Amino acid sequence: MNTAVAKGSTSLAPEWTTPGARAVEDFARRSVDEWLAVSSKFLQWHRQNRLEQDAPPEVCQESDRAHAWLLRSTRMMHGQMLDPDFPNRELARRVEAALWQLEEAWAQAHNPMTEPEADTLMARFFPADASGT
Amino acid sequence: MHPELEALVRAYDAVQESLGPEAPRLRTVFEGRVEDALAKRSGLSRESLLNLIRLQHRRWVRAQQTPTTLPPKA
Repeated sequence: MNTAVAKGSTSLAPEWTTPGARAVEDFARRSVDEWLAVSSKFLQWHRQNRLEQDAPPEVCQESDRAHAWLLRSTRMMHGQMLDPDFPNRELARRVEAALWQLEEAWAQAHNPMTEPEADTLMARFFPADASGT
Repeated sequence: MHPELEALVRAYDAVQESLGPEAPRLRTVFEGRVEDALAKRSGLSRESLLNLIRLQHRRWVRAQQTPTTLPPKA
């Protein structure tokens, strides 16, 4: 098996001395922080360009491709953090929250409910006259 | 908008907009409101309610951007 590490990488493992372990954890945290920043930036763009207004179809297509990659990667990251022995629960919760936001942004952009269907549901389950308005 | 639906939309928006460690707590608040709303409405499925919230949230966000008939706060 080829165990060569990437050129230029430091020797974090396999020694697993205390400094090495700390470096691994720092690296993991930095990587996740960077990923969450990317996700957050995308979601901000998504809100401004696809929620607050209707984007042109070509912009939607491109954004969907990027969105799908973000979803795949975040799900993969989150999957690794579901390990009960994962040491940083706070980090795991932040990734889970980001995944929820990404999934909801996707669900919102591809909502199968039409405006008339929504109005029908509202009239039945959330009637305006019941609110006193 | 019905006040309970508006509360759901606002709670949904709070989770969508949260960036830091507050997000998990806000999500719990939102999920709790969803469960309460479903418990009071037999015949309304969770998926339909979530889709309604998503759609109403879009309408609500867009309405926030457009000037209303109310004068701006001083």
